[in-house]
Amino acid sequence: MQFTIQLISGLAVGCIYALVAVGFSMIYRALGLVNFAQGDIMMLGAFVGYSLFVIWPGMPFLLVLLLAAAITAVAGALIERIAFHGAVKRGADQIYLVLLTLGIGMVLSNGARLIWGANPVVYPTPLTHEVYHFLGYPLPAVYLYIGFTMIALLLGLQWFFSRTWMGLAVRAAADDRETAATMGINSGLAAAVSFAIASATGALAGVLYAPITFASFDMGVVGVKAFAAAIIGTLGSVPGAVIGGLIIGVGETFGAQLISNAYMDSIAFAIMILILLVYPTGLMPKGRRL
Amino acid sequence: MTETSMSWKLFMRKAAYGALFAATSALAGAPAAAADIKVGFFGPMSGPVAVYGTESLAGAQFALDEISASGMLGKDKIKLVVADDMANPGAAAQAVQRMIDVDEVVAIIGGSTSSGTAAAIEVTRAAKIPQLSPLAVDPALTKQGNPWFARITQSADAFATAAAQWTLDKHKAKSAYLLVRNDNWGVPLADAYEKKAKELGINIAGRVLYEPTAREFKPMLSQMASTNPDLVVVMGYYTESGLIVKQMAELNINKRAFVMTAPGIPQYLDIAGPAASGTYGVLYYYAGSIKTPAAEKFVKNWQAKFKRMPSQYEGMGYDSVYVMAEAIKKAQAKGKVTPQNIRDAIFETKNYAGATGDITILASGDSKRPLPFVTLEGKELKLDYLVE
Repeated sequence: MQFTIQLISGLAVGCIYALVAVGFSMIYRALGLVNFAQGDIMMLGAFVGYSLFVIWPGMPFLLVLLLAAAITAVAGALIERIAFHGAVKRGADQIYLVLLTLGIGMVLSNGARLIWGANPVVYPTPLTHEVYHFLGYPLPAVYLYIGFTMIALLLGLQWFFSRTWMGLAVRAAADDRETAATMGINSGLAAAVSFAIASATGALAGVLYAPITFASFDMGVVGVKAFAAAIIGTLGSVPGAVIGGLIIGVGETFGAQLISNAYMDSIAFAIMILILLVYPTGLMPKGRRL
Repeated sequence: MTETSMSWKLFMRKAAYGALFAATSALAGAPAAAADIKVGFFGPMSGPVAVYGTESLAGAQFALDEISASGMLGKDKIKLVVADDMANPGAAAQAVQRMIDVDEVVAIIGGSTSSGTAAAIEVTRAAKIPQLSPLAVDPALTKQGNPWFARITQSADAFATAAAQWTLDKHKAKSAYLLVRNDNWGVPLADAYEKKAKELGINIAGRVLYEPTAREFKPMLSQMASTNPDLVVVMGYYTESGLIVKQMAELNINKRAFVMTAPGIPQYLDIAGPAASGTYGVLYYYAGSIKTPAAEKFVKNWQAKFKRMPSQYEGMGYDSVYVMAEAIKKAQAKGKVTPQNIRDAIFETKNYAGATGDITILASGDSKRPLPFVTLEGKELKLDYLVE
């Protein structure tokens, strides 16, 4: 009984890590850089969701989820246009771009503190405290949304990258920017689209995580574990990011129980180190990245 | 011109200045019959924790109005010089420095957060101005041998010690399981609780430290449940306490939980949701829990004016002004209202019949006072037990 409950909650948190990790992988694929603002973009999405609830009390959760993802996607594309586009065009070194992402993360979290305050906010929706009982197992209602969102997102991304022109263009630009450009693909646009998608998945993570806990300006720290998840699943691979997220979510739940709660945060990285010792490039085989 | 006439003129000039000086000082001394006694009051009046400052100030104003009306200090009047420290240590130190240099206060009441107070005591100590805090609980504040700082609230240590007493006296709990925020706030509290609990023969079934960033408590909660303690004690912030209580409900763990001061904080109710009902906590003060004449008179007068019960911070603000006024009165009796005389009198406070209970200031600057333990019934706070 306890085992199953723990497993389910580990998978739910794992899905949140996975959603943020997908964002890491998307941007790594497109620009070859690690976007350390990803956790803070998740935080931004969570607060956008909160504001939607404040503007329209009783808004259906699904609508909040989609709107927050859309709004944060626009914000992500804007960040790419304003902060990265020029720097990439002028051939800025990767290290500067990575530092740029760190700076953007700080601006986002301090900005959120200015706008939404330093106190945590709780989504004013019954979903926050709703618990279903399924075969005697307590199941927080938001877990269902997490499960469905995860599946829908994976199917959606699969379709986008294999069936749409834009998706193929993003992949082409990511694989070889010059060649893609000679074929008429605008690599700048591809980067903006990658940022938009990464931000949207981050927002999904934030809006789904907020009912489990709360939204606060410092919730972006989750990004660190999501980063470990993305590494485990081979940085750049979307399915890998999901697998990595689930491994860390379940691993730290049981690891904390077996070892000690005081080390719960370290367990994610212990898992990462152990996996990298055996699979130095992550769990995903080469050539199967998307 | 001779030398003698020169010195004569000089003498005359000096005499004239002297007469002028004497006249002006006599003029300045003239209204000494009814003086304003300036007392500083600082705390967060804006920002996320403004409630500590604004509510304790409201209680302080209420006490001041009573004192003016009753003529407790004769013709003299206490004049509050109020400053907002925004719960920021830098702003607190600045505000207190300004009160001392510009407003020339003889004493200061504040602050309402431990961080603001910690910064201010450095200034008041150097300037030798007595400082009395209504709300700051950090145990470190009174561990520096600072003779200029006292508080009418207990230190957090004393809250935790009282909690152990409550565990046994009210709930006859034989075992307790501690969930502790792993920082310099949570660990000393847990130590104080554990020490007293062991003295009282309460078994500590387990003690688990969690990281301040922790949001997922289910693994430790299921470990806790396997030891089947009578009481779960959370030494953490209200955010973590809220999540712990919420996740206990999600895991179907039905245990009594004690969450320190969280039940008095509205966000705790938001985070924990319905699971908050039935949890226990401790407040500075709970209106109606103290049955002394002074306490009942305060609640009656407050209700007559505001048509509601006073909050815990309002009660503490009220008593801080009265303890200060009593000290000023003693200083008056000594002949001079100086910072030194006020300080001495504050530290002589013994069994003062306050609105929040009988208050005794100890030599360390800490105080002895009853503490109300409360429980939430739905969203309503109810008195559970008063630790005298």
